[in-house]
Amino acid sequence: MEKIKAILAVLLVSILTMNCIAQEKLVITPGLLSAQLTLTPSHMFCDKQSYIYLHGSLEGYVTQKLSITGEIYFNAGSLSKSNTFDYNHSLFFGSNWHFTKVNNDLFIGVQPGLSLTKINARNNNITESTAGVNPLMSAVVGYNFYVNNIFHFFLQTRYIMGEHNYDIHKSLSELRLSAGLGFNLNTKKLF
Amino acid sequence: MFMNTKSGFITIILACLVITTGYSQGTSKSNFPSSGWLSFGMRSTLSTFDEDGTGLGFGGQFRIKLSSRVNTDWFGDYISINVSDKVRSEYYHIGWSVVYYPFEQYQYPRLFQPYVLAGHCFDYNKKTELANTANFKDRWGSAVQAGIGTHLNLSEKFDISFTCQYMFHLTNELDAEINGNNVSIVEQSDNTLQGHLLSTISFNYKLCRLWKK
Repeated sequence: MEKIKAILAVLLVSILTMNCIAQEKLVITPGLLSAQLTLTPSHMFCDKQSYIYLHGSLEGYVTQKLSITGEIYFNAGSLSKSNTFDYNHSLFFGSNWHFTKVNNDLFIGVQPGLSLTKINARNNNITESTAGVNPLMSAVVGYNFYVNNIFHFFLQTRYIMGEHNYDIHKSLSELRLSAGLGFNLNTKKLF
Repeated sequence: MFMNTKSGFITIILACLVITTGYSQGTSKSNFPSSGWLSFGMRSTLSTFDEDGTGLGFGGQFRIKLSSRVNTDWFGDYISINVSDKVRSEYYHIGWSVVYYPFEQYQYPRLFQPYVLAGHCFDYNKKTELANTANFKDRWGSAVQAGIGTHLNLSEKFDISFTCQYMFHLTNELDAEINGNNVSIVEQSDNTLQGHLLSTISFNYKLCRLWKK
């Protein structure tokens, strides 16, 4: 009798657990809007320096596999005392392709962009420097995990290609890493 | 023996009807309307085979699709080229191209949609010495461009386009003559046909239909 009760209990727990898995709510659907704000460290390959950016992004899922995204990086400082740039702010716009499984989302993307840069005159041995706008190209790979309809965890690596062509020529090739907690909203459920 | 039976004869007739019906259906066409679409997008361009060197550009475009075979692309972009670490060469383009789809069946939901394009643009070039910004020259001109490309139709309304086109400048070019630390920017006296190869990736979204025919 005790054995039968134990078997029934195990069966009941199994059925309940399977039901929970089957009912896990799908967050990644067309109309999902995702926003992120984080501090991003980077490694710039010319002069081998590191910068810190305030990184914000807004992404809209057109389908479950495709999203359109806009991202902004505000240069918040440098980890080096002899930094090459006074600032290197940048803006990107493009699309990401998603490989999703339930609420796990691995993505890759290509995003062109623009940067606003200014060389540090003293560290580069020139009398003065001017700010300039430079075209950029970037490739991004990342992972999102959508916890529920409100939050998600994100991790993203971006490789940037470009050139600073004012005062002194410098390569803007850089690797940036972002991670943190983002907010999401399903806009189709609002209307 | 099969042919002698009534059911066998009927089966053969039916089989012939099914087979011929399949052939007569031809290639199934998409129900997605093809003309009248207005789309907006952004682009990134790689400039190569220019006398100045290789450069990267950024810009935008909008498209108005006239029919299932013809589209128009109206674009603007900015390209910056580093010339031997001494001179910055900047190109601004504003122009348009006609896009022709030679294979009508290659449209959404098909992934690839190849095209040829040709057009005209206004072209502004400014060359500035990096170490002395007072040493610069600029010129306005026009250009013609032609090339090939393909859309990658990722959804009904979103596509990524890849284009490779050569742009011929119909104007006297500026030359950056670099001799050690001495830089002089001069206008070429002869008008030989020069230009650059532009390889573009663009992201486009169809916003609305301007007409419904």
